[in-house]
Amino acid sequence: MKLTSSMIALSIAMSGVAFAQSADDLVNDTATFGNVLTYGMGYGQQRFSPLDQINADNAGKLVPAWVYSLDDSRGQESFPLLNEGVMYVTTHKSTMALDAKTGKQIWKVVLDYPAETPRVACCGIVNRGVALYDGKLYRTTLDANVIALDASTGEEVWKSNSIDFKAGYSFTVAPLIADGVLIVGISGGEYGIRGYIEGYDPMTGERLWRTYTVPEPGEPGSETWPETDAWERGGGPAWLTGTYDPDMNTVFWGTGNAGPWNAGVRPGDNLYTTSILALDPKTGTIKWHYQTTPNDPFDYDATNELVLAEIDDQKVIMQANRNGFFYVLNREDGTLVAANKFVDRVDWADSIDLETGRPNETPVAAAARSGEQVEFWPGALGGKNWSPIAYNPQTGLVYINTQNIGMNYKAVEPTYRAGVFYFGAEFSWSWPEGDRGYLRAMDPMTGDVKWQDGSAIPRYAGILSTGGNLVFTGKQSGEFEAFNAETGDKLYEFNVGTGIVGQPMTWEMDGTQYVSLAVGSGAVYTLFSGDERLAATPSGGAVWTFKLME
Amino acid sequence: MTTLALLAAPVLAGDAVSEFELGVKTYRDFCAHCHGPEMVNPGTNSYDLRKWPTDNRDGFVTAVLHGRGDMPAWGDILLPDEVSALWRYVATRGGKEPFPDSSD
Repeated sequence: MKLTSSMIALSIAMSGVAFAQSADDLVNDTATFGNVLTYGMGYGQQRFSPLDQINADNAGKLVPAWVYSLDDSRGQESFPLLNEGVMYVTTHKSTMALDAKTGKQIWKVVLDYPAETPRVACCGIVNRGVALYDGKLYRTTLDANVIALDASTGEEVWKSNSIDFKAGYSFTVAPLIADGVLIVGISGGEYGIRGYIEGYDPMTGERLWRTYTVPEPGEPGSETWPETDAWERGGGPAWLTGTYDPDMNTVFWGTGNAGPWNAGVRPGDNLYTTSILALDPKTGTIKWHYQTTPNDPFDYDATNELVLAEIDDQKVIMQANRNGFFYVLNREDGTLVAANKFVDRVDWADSIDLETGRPNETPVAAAARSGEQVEFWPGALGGKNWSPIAYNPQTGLVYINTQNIGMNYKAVEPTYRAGVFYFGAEFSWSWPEGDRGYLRAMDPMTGDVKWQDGSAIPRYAGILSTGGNLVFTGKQSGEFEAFNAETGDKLYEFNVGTGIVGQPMTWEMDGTQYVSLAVGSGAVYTLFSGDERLAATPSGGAVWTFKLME
Repeated sequence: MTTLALLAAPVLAGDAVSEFELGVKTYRDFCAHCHGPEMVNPGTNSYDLRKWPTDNRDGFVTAVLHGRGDMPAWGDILLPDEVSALWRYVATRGGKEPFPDSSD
């Protein structure tokens, strides 16, 4: 094992006490197939496992091993973690520990939150999972709390309130543990919030730092805001888990749209909204930033996962941004390496300037800001929404659930009211003829699409790729799917009886490889699209686990 | 999103028009992200409001103010005018049907 300075420092700080799920264990997660200790299958969130017992030759023989009811009708986006034979999974209202071999419940803890809480969740009543560290589980709640649970009993160890949820703030994020700090990002970009990322002491729940994604007057970046109070409601949520490079001791975290959507009321670039931030995990200090959609009028979040990889001997970050471009950045300094369109129709910009890193906008962007009625693709749901991509270093391809959906849009005068939508825009969806989304296998450097699989209703599930030359994902109409990673041939499909918007992961026990995921209809598309074709796919959360037929 | 509703509005008279328009706006700001644009949704994760009985104003108001099942409570944030306007919007099926006599 390679020791980094930060790991050595941490082990000294811990004075040699032996802990379960130590910092080393988290760093080495990708090499320990029996445990899945980090969100996204490793700190780099490649969602890749070298496991190959299930492979392109035998994936047709997958069968369910067990199913566990989550007893919940909301969307299920939780990434299951696994440690020493115990699986940990969440819903918006509960946390569970399961026997990974049988699916039997070991303990379950139900949350209680005020009846007003769900109204501050713009886009689905969801939770994305736990972090595991030092024998404790960490999760967030919709009413803006961070809590620690004893992993062996579910008993609450501490609970810290971040902020008053009634002003539109909420948490759906799975926390990140980096350099001994528990890190979370707030949701609420549609509610006139001022976004932030926070670090907590995992032992005590004490807040160590809060880095606002919108600076106050006088702070660096404030020059990109007008001299008004716009910054107080400037948006910049941070609702997806960041990645972590232990060697650089740097956390990478994406931020969302500026608020309100009407960009005309906040002239300037509006840092650090729609940005990729490199942070010091101990202090929250911003080391560098890269903004994808300056003065964003389109709800083009840059919250999407920031996948770490080494490509052509360069340490990079990759992101399939809501704005339709696939970004590759040098993660040491944040400079742009490549940016290609990953959906067919991108109206707002022709390209991204590789020298300056700024978009070469079309007249559509200016028209949207000026209050003209415009149609633009991709719409606010994005070229990709929340569903996380996978990167397979063996094929060199990224796998993306893309969307082919536009938007009719007109900026109007915004009205602020605490805890209520703060759009400053009237909008409706614009639908394509035919497929609304594609699972795409793409070269991350060139944007060349190697294969794709269309879907009438777009896929909203995460993707998993494996050393078995496989890609796993699922459909909102209920099909759990496996594809050949090289060719795109569909090898397996199983109807789990409810929509899939969750995150598949894989693990091994006693010589057998398993694939698990939480399923359950919900999330933004089901609620907000008006797609009645989903009427025959009931809600109902569950965890399914698959293995090969014996 | 509002085009259809506004076309329907002229069949209403005076105050009813402004109440309906407030209903359109209130629905869009408070309800559409779960109940769907113009009340169109699959009915799986949230109630299909097109099916709400138009003779049950009281039940509607109670659900809006205090929550119902998975639905959050809005009583501390919605104004009485907005609740009435929402009822007009829902009870007229988004302006497609006349406002029911028995409900007011």
